Amino acid sequence: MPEEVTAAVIKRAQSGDTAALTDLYEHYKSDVYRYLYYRLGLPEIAEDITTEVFIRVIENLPRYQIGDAPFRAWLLQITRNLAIDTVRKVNVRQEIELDVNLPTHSAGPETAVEQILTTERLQQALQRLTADQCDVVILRFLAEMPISQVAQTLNKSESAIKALQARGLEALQRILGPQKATYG
Amino acid sequence: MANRDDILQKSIALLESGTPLQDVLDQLPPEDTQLHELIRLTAAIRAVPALPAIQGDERVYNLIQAQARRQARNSSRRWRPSWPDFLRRKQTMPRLAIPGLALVALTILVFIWFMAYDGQVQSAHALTITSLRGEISVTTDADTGWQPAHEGLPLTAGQRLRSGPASMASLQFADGSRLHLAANSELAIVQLEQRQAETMIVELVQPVGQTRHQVNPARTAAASYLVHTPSGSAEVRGTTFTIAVAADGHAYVAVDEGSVLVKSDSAAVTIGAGRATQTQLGQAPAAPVHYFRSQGELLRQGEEVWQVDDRLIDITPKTILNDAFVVGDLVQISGQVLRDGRWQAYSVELATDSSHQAAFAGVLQVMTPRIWLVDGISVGITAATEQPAYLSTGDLIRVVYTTGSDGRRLAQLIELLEPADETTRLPRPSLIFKPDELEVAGCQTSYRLTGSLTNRGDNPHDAAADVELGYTLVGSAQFVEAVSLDPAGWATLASGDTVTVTVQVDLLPAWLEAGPETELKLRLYIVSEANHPYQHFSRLTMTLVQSCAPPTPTAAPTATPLPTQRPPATPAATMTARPSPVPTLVATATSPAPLPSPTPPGTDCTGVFPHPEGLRLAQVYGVPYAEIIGWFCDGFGFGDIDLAYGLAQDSGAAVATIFAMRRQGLSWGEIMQALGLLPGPTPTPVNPTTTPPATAPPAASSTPPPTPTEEPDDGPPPSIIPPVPSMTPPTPPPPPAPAGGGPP
Repeated sequence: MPEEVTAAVIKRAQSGDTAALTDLYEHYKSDVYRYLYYRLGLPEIAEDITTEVFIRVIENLPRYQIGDAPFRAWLLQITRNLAIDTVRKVNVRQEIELDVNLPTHSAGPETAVEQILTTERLQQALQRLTADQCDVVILRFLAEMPISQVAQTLNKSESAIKALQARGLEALQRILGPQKATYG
Repeated sequence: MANRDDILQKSIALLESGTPLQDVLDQLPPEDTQLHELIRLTAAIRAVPALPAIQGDERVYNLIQAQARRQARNSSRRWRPSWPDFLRRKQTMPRLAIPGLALVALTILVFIWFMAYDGQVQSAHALTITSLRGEISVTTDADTGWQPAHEGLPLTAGQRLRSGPASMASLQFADGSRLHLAANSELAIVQLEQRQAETMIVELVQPVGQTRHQVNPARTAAASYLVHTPSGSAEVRGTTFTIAVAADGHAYVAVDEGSVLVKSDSAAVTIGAGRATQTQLGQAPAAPVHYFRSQGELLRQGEEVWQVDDRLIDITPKTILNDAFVVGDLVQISGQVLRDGRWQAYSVELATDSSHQAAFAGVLQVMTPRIWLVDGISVGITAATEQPAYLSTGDLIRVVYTTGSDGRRLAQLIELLEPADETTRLPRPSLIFKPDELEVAGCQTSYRLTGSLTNRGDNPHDAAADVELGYTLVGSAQFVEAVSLDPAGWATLASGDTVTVTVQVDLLPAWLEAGPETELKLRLYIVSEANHPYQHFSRLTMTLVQSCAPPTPTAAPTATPLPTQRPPATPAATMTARPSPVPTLVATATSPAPLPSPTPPGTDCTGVFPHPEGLRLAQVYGVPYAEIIGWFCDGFGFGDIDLAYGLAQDSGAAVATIFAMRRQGLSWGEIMQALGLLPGPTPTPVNPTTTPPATAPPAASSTPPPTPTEEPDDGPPPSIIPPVPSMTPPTPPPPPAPAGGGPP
């Protein structure tokens, strides 16, 4: 699980300390970008929205209550809200040109060809999941959040997250087919 | 299934703890190959290469510097609003208002005196905290910092008040006016004077959060009550209103009584009772809209829809959430009544008492003996409903209602509201899809359809701005792979403009095996438009009909196609505009008209399962939930459904007959007349003895939907039928202007 910044850094950032605010930005901007990259499916938009997220975070930082929720969960909650807003505004999910080379794998295992999962293939496949499934897969496996934090971020119960995790993986498995074991 | 989800999670946790993939796989049941695949996939996702690092954005670094400067300023000065233009104007306000140093000194002396006698002479203070809950703190300047507030604490100009989570405070002015501060809110007192016993001069700044103001009518010309937000201000002379301000500065002003002048960006609009407006930085106030407030238990929290008691309320990214809410909380939600009867939340706060009640403003559309339709929402009227003597359709009213244990929604109080103040001419674009129905028959997995949208505004002032399109899928959505709209919106549509939109629908291969006559409906609608107070209601319904040839039967080679069978598949789809509904009066049905197709749970067209409004109506009328939702998915709003079942009970007519009349374009007044519920020159005979009961018996509720082969797909349009017994066409087009709660 990625390292969190300390409460002291957050407190200093809340009081307007430039170095602490910069630390927060440097520490978390990749997390935010990664979520948006996979959630929206459009890298150029993801970068812009990352900036918007941090503008909103800095403006709202005094209202963050240390101890209420991990900072990363609070940050990704803001990120998710902006992602939803963006999807609604630009209909990103509707406009995605689905890759013609990414058919749904409905063939049996005897005919399926094992493939290596790339960022591009994963990104395209995630666009086919429901918004909640997409969120859970990104937060669990790409942001490496534990179930409890994903539940806090998405404002759902842990059992709901487990169910979404299973359904999301099943859907991805149907889309992507079997995976080549080049890991673990 | 939950058990399997847990097994999956345990295996994933092993992977996360560093256990080699093969070891994790070895611990799984060998026969569950899918679980093996899911774990392999999880490992693959975790092994996806990291994305390249992104560069820091100068805008963020600049904001960090600005934030540091702002903090430095605040630590050396008294707090002032953070938006620069307003700051410059407001800095001098207290000094201009107070005539001379003597008065300043006197104010200080009075303040010290008040502090010394805190709690004993509250009525003498201009503003006092009368009650509070949770964390309420007050500050005079940055040096002293925030101090806990307490009941009886007097407040003066220059002070700021803020509330923490799950907190609230009630304040009272010397003239009896009241102010309620909700959770996570902040308020600065810029000016607070009581010049004489009846002249209060109040100027407040609300940078964030929610406040409710009950201002007693001003009795002198000098009295004023002004609240600034980052994006505008609200000025009143005696009224009850609410202000909610978001972190980005956009704000909502909603008026319960009287009127409020809202100013923003050099423009102003007067908001009357029952209406609300929105202000955004650098923009004129939005046109007034009808306003609701609903208090009850938060039963469901979806991403975009929450359920409070029996009502679904849309939550948008602009909704101001004044606290962290969880299911089970008693909440109060304020917002806008959309034209299709949906409620869209402006702000949510924790309720201050345990009552369950809702109030909303809207135009009285239909009055039946027991049910009224107001802005698409049905409410029950009883002898106990308190209401003005003379009301008629078209009146702007406010309804306060509760929902009984039997699911009936009963109006307790109905008030007539003043019509909107038209002193400000606002744009009134009118966006219409024409034609409003298209049908394509084909045997393919990709369809491209083109619709057109016209702004039929009356004059050049009626331009539409920031038009955004959206769509919903009704039935057979499981076959849809992707839908795209080109374009998905327009920045402006001038009055008289007509534009086209291309809809690309890609279907899964399973569509080709779904069977001939399978229908997929896609409804195109306007998600938002900046220059219109309500949602545009025009819809374009596109119907895709699968017309692939069925597989040749092997067991009965001599079988011949049914006469109504569609022609074999053709490479190209054929598209036709459906004819407009022809008004036809159907007096009575010789046999029950077909009930709507039963909709399997979890796949209905409401997007929410089970829909609370569907559950409520099923309970009220004692019919299956699927029957109610079937009508809804057929294009009727919940308000219409409530009216139809209510009229069926009152008249003894079959509910299907009433829906058939509605489909054929009859108004509710005409329907009531036809049913003999209103006196009229030519009441249409209804024969209750041959008409099934209003609520279909179980056997009727399970009546199978009409088989597609019964419907001639390319026959002539329905002819005008004289008022004699007639069979309603099974699936005629929906009425041109459905009212209330229908799917967008």
